[in-house]
Amino acid sequence: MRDMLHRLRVPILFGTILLLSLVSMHADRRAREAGPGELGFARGLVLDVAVPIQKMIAAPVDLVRDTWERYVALVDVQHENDALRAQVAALREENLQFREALVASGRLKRIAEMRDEFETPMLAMEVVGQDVSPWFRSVLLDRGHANGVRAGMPVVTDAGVVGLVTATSEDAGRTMLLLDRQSAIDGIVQRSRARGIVRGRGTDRLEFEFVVGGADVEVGDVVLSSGLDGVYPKGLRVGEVEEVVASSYGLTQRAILKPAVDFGRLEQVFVVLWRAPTMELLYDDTAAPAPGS
Amino acid sequence: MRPALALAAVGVAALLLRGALAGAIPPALHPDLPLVVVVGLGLRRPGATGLLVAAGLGCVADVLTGALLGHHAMLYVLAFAVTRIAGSQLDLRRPAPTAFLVAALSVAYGVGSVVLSRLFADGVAWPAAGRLLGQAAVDGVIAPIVLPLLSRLVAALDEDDRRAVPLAPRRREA
Repeated sequence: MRDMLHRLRVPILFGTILLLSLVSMHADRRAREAGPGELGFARGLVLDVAVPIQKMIAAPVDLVRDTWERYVALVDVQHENDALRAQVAALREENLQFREALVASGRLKRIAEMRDEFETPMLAMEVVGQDVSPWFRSVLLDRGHANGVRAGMPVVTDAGVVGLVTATSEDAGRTMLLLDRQSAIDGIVQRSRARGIVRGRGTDRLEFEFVVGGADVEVGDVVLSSGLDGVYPKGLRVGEVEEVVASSYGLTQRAILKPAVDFGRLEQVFVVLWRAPTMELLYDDTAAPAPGS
Repeated sequence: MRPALALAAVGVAALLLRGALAGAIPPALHPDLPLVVVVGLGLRRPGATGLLVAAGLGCVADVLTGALLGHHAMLYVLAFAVTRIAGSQLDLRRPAPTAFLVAALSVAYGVGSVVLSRLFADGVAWPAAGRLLGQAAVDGVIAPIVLPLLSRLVAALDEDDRRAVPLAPRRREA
């Protein structure tokens, strides 16, 4: 008997691990549905150890990439610079005209007041690693709850919305990108104010489902966050309409968006140190870490 | 024990390296180094220790990825088992069968990953066939380079490397 057990120990172990994996996935899913929050000790420890090492590994990779992009791949840079200078001059002129118009109408003061009112502190963070599996859409950030970062906080860049912090440890955070199929954001077409929900598709494009069929949308329209989801601040760039798709009966309409942020080249992001009331309820920091985390 | 620990360390390093390289390499060309390390485990440490190390690597991948705990662990353990079986049927001393095995595992890993995420979570989209095949090709190319290095590491740490699966097909005794 003992001899047989010894001979079968690998198959038995194999079966046990498979069974444990299934149970663990089921339990983890239930725990996440109950409300995610900060990572438990074991997972937090893995992230806290992994992030500095990953940062160290990424440094030479980034150096090579930066060197290539800044010094080697600069073909026709002089022409591009000239064109950009001309463009900047034109934009400055245009900007001045707009400012003049705004000052004249007294709106600049109001806009400045609104900006002060809505301005929230942001924390610059480095992306130290992207998803180790190409089938999921998340990135690792180099700061965690020791720096005030909490699950449920929006992550942005100067280009637009990146995603949402979904889990934090002491010195690391994980962000689910807008591309993830579990991501959604309430969006609005800047030109026509048509509203809808932007969802991740698990690919490098986003899907924009309009609340009303026949909404006014065209290829090239810019889509912004509406702020109505109570998760992301209003007015952030989400993407640009690349294709408009109407259903065969014209009842629904959707658009395919090219994200405003180049997710393949994320290096530095900003975490908005603010959580909407709905997020405060969802990510209850006072609760104990979810089981299985 | 030492070779298994060394392979575990190499596996974790491969996971971190993969994360660091993700932004610098086009998605279709991401090498799946951790999968190659799991194949190395299946060939050089086919016993219970190798199985546990493969499962442990999967758990680390789950934490780094944000996948459900057990997702990658299950896939790595399955890859380990397939490697173990293939190791007794194919001549994995030659680069071509090794490359073919790893490429096939790479495709199976991608498909398995999507299936698991659809069964247990909200699911991810099916990846484009071009991307799957691109990654499989990259994995197939790097495997015959990486696996001999892993074998050398194991041999250096364990002179008496008796537990390894024979890399040639088993022949029936006369």
